[in-house]
Amino acid sequence: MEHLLEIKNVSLNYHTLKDETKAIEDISLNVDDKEFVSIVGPSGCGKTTLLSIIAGIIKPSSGSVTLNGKPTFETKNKIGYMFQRDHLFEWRTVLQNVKLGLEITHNKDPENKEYLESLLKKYGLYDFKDKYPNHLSGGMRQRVALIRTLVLRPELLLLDEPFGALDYQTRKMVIQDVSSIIDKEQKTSILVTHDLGEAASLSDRIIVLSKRPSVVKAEFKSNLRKIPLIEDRKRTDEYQEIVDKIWKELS
Amino acid sequence: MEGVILKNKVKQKKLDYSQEHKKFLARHKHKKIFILSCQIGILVIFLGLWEILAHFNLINTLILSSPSRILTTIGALYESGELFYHIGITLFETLLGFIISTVVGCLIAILLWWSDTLRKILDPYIVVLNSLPKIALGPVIIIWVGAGMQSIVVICILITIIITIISMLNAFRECDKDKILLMQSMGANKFQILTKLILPATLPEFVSVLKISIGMSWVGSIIGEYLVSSAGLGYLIVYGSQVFRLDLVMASTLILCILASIMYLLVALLEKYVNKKRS
Repeated sequence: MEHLLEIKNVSLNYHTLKDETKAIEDISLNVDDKEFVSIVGPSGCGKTTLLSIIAGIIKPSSGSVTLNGKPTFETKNKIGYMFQRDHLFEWRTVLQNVKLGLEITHNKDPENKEYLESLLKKYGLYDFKDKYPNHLSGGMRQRVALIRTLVLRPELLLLDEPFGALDYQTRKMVIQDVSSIIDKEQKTSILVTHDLGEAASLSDRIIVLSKRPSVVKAEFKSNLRKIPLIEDRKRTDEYQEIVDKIWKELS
Repeated sequence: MEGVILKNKVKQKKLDYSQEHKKFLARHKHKKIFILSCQIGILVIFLGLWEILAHFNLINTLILSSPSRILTTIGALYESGELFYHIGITLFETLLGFIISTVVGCLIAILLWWSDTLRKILDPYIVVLNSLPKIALGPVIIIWVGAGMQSIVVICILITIIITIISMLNAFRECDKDKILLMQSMGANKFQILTKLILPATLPEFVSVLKISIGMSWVGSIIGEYLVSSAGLGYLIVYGSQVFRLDLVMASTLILCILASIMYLLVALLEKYVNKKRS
């Protein structure tokens, strides 16, 4: 069967003048269309590096990453990237921030402008489109950041601990928010996180990486995505079970 | 619509401030007035004392001049039409040096940001140029570009440009790496990263560099005029000291002081405007 994303035997070595470090030993991984996959692992295991390789920003030492059969470093803007901090540009209004991707790709299609406005409307940001990011709450900023990536209609979303910098209450709200937006827009996503609960409650599949040089250590499936509210997902036995299993793999 | 409502709310709020808050505001205002009156007071006492001591011949006015004599000198310069001539020349040199060093300095900084290899190659030269007292090159410059205004402008640029290059390059390089990664993930090329991220992100640093470099330009043009000139405020100062007309020296210094302050104030206003737009 054809997979949307195929990661085949990827390895990566870091070179510094003093030393050569093996960051990623050998990772193979497939992600199907509309699937939500989380990657967890001990800190420093190269999760973020793996995302950069998937995004085509770093070239692996060996192995290949293909999206729809094409190497990802050739098809960059098919992949959307979300970071721990929202990285909105303070000198641009919400609308100008969201337009950034279209400007970069020189996409002046009126249809895209409509799509962009419909996204802003759908997710309650249209009234704030002329405001500067400083006037928005942390949750709204992260939503703007997500829409900024969605505008480019990415086939794959990479989420690099996008909730890590938020305080507890905002975090709960933003996770629900982002997860339902991803569900509604039916985006294939890969989430990197160190929060096991986040991984267990959000995804169809959880990949556990070993410590450096990292390999895929275990893989768990989850059926929790059918339940709409994340709060409810966390109350199920399956949730507890998955978290326990991941925890055992990590310790 | 929303803005109007918000404004009305603010207005209303001002009316029903609590007694405590009103007291706080009054205290704040009193302190501000006190500071301002002290500032003016110091100036008035200093000038007054100077004038009185000069008037009763308790100090040597030949060496120390006096406020009234300085004003008379400025008046005389104005009458003869020389005042604006000399101001114009110095102002022209300073502004020309300031503009050229800002534009060229920023272009060089962009070039060095663009090519890491070039930056590393030129690094020792920039370090040496930065630590060198540029004024030591004055005589060489006069011989190379000729005695006249062109030398003064070149000296002015030399003094100003290095600080612009170093400060702007640092600002460029300190730009958030993740923001660059974000742009790359959207497929941005280096030129787009420069124009859409690096330049707008470093605008506040740019304005604060302007504040430093306008001061440096004044240093450059005055020192240049000390070395080689036949007009300008620096020339008047050197000429005045040579013929022992301290009135002229003091008068020129005072004018210089006022001009430099005005220019600094303009840049400071620009900075305030830029920062206000950002927040």
